Amino acid sequence: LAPPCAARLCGSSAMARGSKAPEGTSASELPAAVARQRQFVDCGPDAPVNTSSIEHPDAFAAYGIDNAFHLEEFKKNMRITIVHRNEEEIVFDIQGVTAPMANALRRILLAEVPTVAIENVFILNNTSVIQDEVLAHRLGLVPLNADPDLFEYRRAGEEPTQDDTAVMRLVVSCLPKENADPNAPPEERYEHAHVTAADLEWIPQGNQEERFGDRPLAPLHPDILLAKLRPGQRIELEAHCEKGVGRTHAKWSPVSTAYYRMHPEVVIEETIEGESASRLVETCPMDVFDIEDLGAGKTRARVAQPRSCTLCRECVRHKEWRNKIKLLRKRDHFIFSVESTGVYDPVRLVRTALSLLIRKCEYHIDAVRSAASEDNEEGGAEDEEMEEESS
Amino acid sequence: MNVPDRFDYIVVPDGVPKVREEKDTKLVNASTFIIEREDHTVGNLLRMQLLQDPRVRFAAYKLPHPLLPQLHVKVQAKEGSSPLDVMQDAVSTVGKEFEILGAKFEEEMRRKGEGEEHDRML
Repeated sequence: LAPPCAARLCGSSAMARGSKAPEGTSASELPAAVARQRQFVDCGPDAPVNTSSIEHPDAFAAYGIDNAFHLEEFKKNMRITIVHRNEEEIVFDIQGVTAPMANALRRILLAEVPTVAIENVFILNNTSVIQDEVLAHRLGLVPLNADPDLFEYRRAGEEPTQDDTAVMRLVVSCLPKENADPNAPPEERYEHAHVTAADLEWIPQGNQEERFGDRPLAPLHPDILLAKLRPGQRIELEAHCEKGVGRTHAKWSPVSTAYYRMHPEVVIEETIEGESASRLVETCPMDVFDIEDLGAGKTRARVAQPRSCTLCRECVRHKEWRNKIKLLRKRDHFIFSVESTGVYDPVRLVRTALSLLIRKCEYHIDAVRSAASEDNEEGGAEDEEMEEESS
Repeated sequence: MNVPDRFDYIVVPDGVPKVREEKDTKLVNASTFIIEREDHTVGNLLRMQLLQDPRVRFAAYKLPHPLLPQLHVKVQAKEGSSPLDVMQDAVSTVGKEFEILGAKFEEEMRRKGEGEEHDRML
C-alpha cells in the first residue's frame, strides 16, 4: 500500500531545494521512504524518529539530486505568511528555512531584544511582611513602558546618569479607613492594603522630562500586585530602571513568550472506515479528522485539519489505529507565535529581532575577516604559539 | 563575591578578539574558530550553513564550558579551499538569508495592508 502522498512528497516546493540534477546526470526520484525522511520528522507513537535534517550536499548524489544550498533557490522557496495579528501577539508561518534559522530567531526574540526594567532598589523603609529581596525581585519583573531606544546601557561601576537610568519611587503607608464596613474585605477597609504597580511614581531626572514627557514612564500593567499591607506597615523605596537584555535576566525579555511549532502532517496509511472512522473522529480532541462520505452507506476517515494537531497521540495510542496513522512534522515549516509583554508592538518585535540577527552576522563577517588578516600577518609566529600551547 | 560582572557575558573585553582561528595540529586543512560571547544562536546557525557547503568535509560547534562565554566552531575544508574561505562564505550567506527573510516579512506586511504604524512603541 503506497502512502497516498508519496507523489506529493517529492515534488513539493517546500523541499524542492536541490531537486534539479547536476549537469550530465538525470534525476530520478527518491524512494518514498527517503523522501519522507527528508521532508518530515516522524513523531512515532512513542518518540520522535529522524529528528536531524539531511544537510550534506551530496546526500542524494546516487539519485542525481543536488542537495547543496543555493541562495537563489532559498529566495524562491522561502515564504512568510502572517496568520493572525493583534496588539499583543502575532502568529506567522515561515516556510523554506531550516531549524537552526527558526531557532536563532526565537532565541533572539527571547534573549537579545532590549527592554528597560527595574534593576537596583534602594529600600528606606519596609515594615511589610514581604522581605526586601522578594519585593525587589517582584519590582524587577514589572514591565515598564520605557522605549529602550532612548536609553543607553549602564556599565557596571559607573554612576547612574540621565541617559541610562530612570528613577521610580514607591511610598506607601497602610492606614485604616474611617467609616469602613468591618465585614468588608481588607482592600476596602484599609488604605493601600494592596500595593500595586500603579503605586510606582516616576521621578524624572535631568532632561528626561523633555525626552519622554509625552509618554511618562509607568508600568504597562498597573494592576500587578506587589505586596499586601496592614495598618501601620509602610514601604518606602527608590528604584532605578536600566536597559538590559533577556540574556542577562529574564525580566528584560520583551516577550511573554515566543515559540514555534513545526507544521503537522497527518497521514492515514491504511483506510479507516465506518464505525472505526467515526470513533477516530470522536477520539481526536483537536478535530484533525473528519468523515468522508463515499455514498452507499460507506464512510471513511480523512485528515481535515492537520494544522490543529497538538501531538497528543490519542489517535495512535489505541491498537486499532496505531499502525494506520502516521504523525509527522514538516521540517522546514514553522508556525511562530510571538506574544509581546506590551513594550514593543509584536510586528516591531519581529523586525527588531531580524535586524539584530542581521547585524550579528555582519559583525561576525568583519570579525572573521580580522581573524583572517591577523592569521596571514603572523603566519609562522602563530604556528609557534600553537605548538607551545599544545605541548 | 565570585559573581563576574554581568557585562562580561555579553561584551567582549578590550584586547580580546571576537573571532580567533586556531589551526588544527592533527587534521589537514582544518581549524577551530573561537568566537567570544556567542552561543547556540550563532553556533548552530553557522554549523548548519557550513554543512551545506560542498567544500566542507567536517563542521561542528560546541560551547566548551557553561561558565565560559565562548563558542568553538571546528571546520575542515576539502582540498582547494581553506577553513577561512568557507567560514567567511558561511557567515555572509547566513546574513543574506536573514536579509531575505526580513524583506519577505516586509512584503507580507505590505501585502496585508499594514505598514509603518507598527513602528510605534506600545
